[in-house]
Amino acid sequence: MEDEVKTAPQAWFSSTSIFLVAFILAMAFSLATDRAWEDYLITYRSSKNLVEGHGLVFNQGERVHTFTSPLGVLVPAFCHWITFRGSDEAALWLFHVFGGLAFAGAAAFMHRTVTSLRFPSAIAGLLMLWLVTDAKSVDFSIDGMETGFLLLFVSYILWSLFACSHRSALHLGLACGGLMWTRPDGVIYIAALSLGVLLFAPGDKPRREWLRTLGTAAGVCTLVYLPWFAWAWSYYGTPVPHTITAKANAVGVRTLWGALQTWLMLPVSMFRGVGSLDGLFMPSGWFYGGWPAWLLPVTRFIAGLACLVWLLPRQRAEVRVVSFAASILMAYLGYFPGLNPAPWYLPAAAWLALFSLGGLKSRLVLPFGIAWLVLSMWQLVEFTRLSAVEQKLVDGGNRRAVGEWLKANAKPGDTLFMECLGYLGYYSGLKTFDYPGMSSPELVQASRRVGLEWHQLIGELKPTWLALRPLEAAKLMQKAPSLLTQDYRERRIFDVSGEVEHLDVRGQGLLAFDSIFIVFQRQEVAP
Amino acid sequence: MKLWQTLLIALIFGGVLVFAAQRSFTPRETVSPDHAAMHFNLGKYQRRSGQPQKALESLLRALANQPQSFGIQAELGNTHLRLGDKAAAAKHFEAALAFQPDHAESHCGLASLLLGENKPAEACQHYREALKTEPDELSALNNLAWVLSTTPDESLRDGKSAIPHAERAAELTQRQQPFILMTLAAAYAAAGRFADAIPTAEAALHLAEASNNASLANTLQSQLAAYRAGKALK
Repeated sequence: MEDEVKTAPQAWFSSTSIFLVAFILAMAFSLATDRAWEDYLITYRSSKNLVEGHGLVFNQGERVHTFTSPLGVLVPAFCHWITFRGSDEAALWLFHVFGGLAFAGAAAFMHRTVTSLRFPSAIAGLLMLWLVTDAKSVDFSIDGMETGFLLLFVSYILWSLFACSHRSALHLGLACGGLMWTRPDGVIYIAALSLGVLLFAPGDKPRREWLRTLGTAAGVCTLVYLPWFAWAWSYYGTPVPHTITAKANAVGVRTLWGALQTWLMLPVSMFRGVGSLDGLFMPSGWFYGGWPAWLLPVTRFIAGLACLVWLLPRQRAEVRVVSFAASILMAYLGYFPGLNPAPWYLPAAAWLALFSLGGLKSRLVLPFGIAWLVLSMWQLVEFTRLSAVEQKLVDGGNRRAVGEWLKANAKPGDTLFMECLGYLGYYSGLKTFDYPGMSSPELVQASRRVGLEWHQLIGELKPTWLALRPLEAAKLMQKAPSLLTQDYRERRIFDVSGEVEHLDVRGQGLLAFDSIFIVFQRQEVAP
Repeated sequence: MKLWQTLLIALIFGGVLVFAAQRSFTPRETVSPDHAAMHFNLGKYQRRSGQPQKALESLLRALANQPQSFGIQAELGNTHLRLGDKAAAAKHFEAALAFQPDHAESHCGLASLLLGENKPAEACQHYREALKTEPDELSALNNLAWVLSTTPDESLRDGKSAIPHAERAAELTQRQQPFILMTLAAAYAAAGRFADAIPTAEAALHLAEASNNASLANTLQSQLAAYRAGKALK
């Protein structure tokens, strides 16, 4: 394990070319899939309300903080405003471009960092290609989520820590501030990397100097984030996004001890398969099925390995910092949101893990790197195919059709209960009681009174409409047989299963999940 | 690598993504089991909500995607039972048991068919098999207890054995289901415990009247009269 190149390597790519490569790939993915992720439409409803003068709210007149990412709601608002408030498609496409630029900027920062750290040129080149072909990173950078910005600011942090020679504390503070504007739980990313820096003291700086740098950066970060924090507190009455309150209510109590146990169990998880390591390098929605069986154990093992690099002796301190941070993030993401964290949480951790693997001082990295690149490119191609079908037939087809039908058939004041809030909430325009209540404080309060069982929540809230997947309807029939036959009546089944079930794409399970919806209307208001 | 070379590679790979996406709408022969699960759940909902004909269509689509699923076979059995096609129901329950010999739901389905054919001994055997796998399967507990308490076949009749099953069923339903309490009362009576049978039947009668179930209330009143006269049901 001593292949480190001591002289300045001849880089495969310049930072400009890696920026362009990343941007071209992101735009090609957008073009191929025309992707608009479910959760984008949750935030976009608030973005649009802001631009239309109704406030930064999901439902007009209700000051509820129904989004997690400030940038994720403000950038789409800007896109809607700058496209003359005329077309949702134009706003989304502009957001695709901003997301693609952020993704490309992230890749450029990473390139500058690995070049500065003098990674061998072949390894640096491979690492850059791993990053820009990571399917989830490409997807969630352009599909309306905040992931592109998350990657940008995490990469900016790494550059500030390891490659910036002038005003590094200022850059670090700006990067951390940007990360906080991207996701409030960016503080975990910042804490994990800071802890790693203090543990391994990379570069020539002694720990005391690192402490000073981190302290200054914390001050800058606070100044950058404070305006949003103060405004959100004054506007919504709390600085904590309601999305976090609702999810925390559904997943139950979480403790630091539990997170520590998850972290300590990572070496076991890489073989046994419970937790966030499963999803780190798998395509999103992998758990619905349809991918080759060998893919999960292979990617899980590699993910686990990346989280253990910091334990290996004689590695670069910078690489150990990043690997340590990746391991903390995997424990955080695998414990607090639940065992299978949402796929858009994972790309930043995936980039840190890939950086750790690329930075390993071992002869095995080059052959492994070539094999991994092939796997990564294959995943990206297959995932592009899956995403194109999902967008056209399931998200843009079935889910949107349900929302539009509800808009046409519901009356003013009607309410809607369902799990998948994005398309149904946006296109119906109805007041929503979504599970677990991200748009609805009423649902969170009801769940505290009667519990989280759907039949109890529906009985308590009495929504006018229900939009259920077959599994959800079957469970309700089992738990409360009269609910769907006496209190509600079936109005329409939306079924695209016939169109998607014979398509020759990998990851078919994802297509099945939302291929059928059953819409019910409450009996006393049925015509 | 020069800038134009990297750009060329990026453009080619980007083109591959777009081309691949166009190819994504080509059909294939086999269907993923995930789609079978979707139709299976739709069928389950439709049967339970009183739409057995639609349930049959959904379940047959599910079965076409996953022919060796005992769950789909059992659900098809229940749906045919609902439609009155006993022969088809038996065929599907047997197919389910061929794939999963201890499948409780299929044992219960076959048992109910055998009761319809007046074969209580065989039916009891299937209920007992179901309870080995799922000791709290409510219909198996209740029906086994009912048959053991009320069958005219003296060699099969066994009130004492029926009582634990009926009591468990009553416990599982918090003594709030009149049908279940009716069975418990019958079990007590079959075991000669009329002092327990009478208040249990009265509680069942009270619940039946509270839920406006007149026919069940009438049945319970006649059963109560029998218990007060010291007679068990046959």
